[in-house]
Amino acid sequence: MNYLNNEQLAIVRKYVVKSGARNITLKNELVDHIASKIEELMVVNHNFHEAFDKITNQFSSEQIERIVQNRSKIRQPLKRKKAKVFSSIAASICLMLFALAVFASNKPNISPIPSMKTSVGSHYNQLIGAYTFDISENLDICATAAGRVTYVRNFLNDGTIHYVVRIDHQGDYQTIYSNLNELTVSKNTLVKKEQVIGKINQCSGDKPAYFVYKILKSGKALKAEPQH
Amino acid sequence: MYSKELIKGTLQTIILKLLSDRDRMYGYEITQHVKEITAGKILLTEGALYPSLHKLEAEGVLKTETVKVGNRVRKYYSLTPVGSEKATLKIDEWVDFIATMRHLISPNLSSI
Repeated sequence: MNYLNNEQLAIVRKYVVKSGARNITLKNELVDHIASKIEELMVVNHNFHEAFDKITNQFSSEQIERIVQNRSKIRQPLKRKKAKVFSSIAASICLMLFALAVFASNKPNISPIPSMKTSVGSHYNQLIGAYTFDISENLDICATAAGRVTYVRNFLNDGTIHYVVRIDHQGDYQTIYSNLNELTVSKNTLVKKEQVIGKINQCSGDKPAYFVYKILKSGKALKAEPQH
Repeated sequence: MYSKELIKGTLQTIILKLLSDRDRMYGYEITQHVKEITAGKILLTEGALYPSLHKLEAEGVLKTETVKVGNRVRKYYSLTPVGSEKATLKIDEWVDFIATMRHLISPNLSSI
C-alpha cells in the first residue's frame, strides 16, 4: 500500500485542524487515522479526493470536535491533580527550608562580635571551656542565635561594673556573654540572631578588654561551629 | 450491528482484550480488527474509540509510543502493568456477566 504524499497529508491536516484538533499529539493521531482510511479506499479504485470526501462525510468535523472536547475534559482534572501535587511538594520544600532557617538561627556559632570570625582575635580556652577575645576597640556584642535572655548579673571588675548575660536557645543550647560594659537587653528579652545585646566600650589600645563567650549544650561546654 | 448503548458499555473491555493479545495497536487498526473478527457486527466509531483510548491513557491503563510511518506519525497503544491487571479483571467480569445474562434470558431448567 502506498502512503499519502505530503500534499495529500497537508489537506488531511488542514481538515483536522479546522475541526478543532490543534494539539499536536491529537492532530497527528487523527491525521494518521483519516490517512489510513483514505489509503484503504485508494486501493479499491478511489482517487484521493473521492476517498477524502467519503471519509470526511463519515468522520465529520462534529465528531472531531467531540473528541477534542472529551480529551480536554480528561486532561483538565489531570492538570489540576499535577498542580496540586506540585504545590504540596513546593509547600514541603518551603517548610523544610523554613525549618532549616529556624534551626540555623537557633544554633549558636562563634561570632558574638559582628564581622569577627573564629580565627580573628579569639582563643578557645580549654580550662574554662570558653572563647576569650582581646578587644582593643569599642564594639557591639550580638546574640549568636535566637533565644530568650534567662540570666543577667552585674559584677565589679577593676572598679567598673561588668555584666554577664545568658541566653537560652532551642535544642538545649545556651550562650553566655561575660565582661560586657553596657547592656541593651534584660532578663526575659526575646532576642533574634545577631541582635545587639550589649557593648564593650571601655577599652583602649594599650588596655584591651577581655570578653568571654561560652556555649553550652545540655549544660556542657561546647566548641562552637566556626564561621567561614 | 449492535446498538450504540451496548457497544458503549463494552468498549473498554474490547480495547483491553485486544491489547492483551497484542503488543501494541493503533486506533484505526483497532477499528478494523474489531470489524473483521465480529464480521461487521461491531463497528467502532472514531467518536467513541478515541475518547476511550485517551481516558485509559490518562488513567495509566495504557501507555503510548509514536512511530514514523511514511510522512506521518502513528500513535501506538499498549497495556501498562496496571492495564494488564485491569484487562484480566474486566475480561473475567464480562465472561461471568455473559453467563449470567444467558442464564437470565434462557434459564437452565435443571438449575431451578
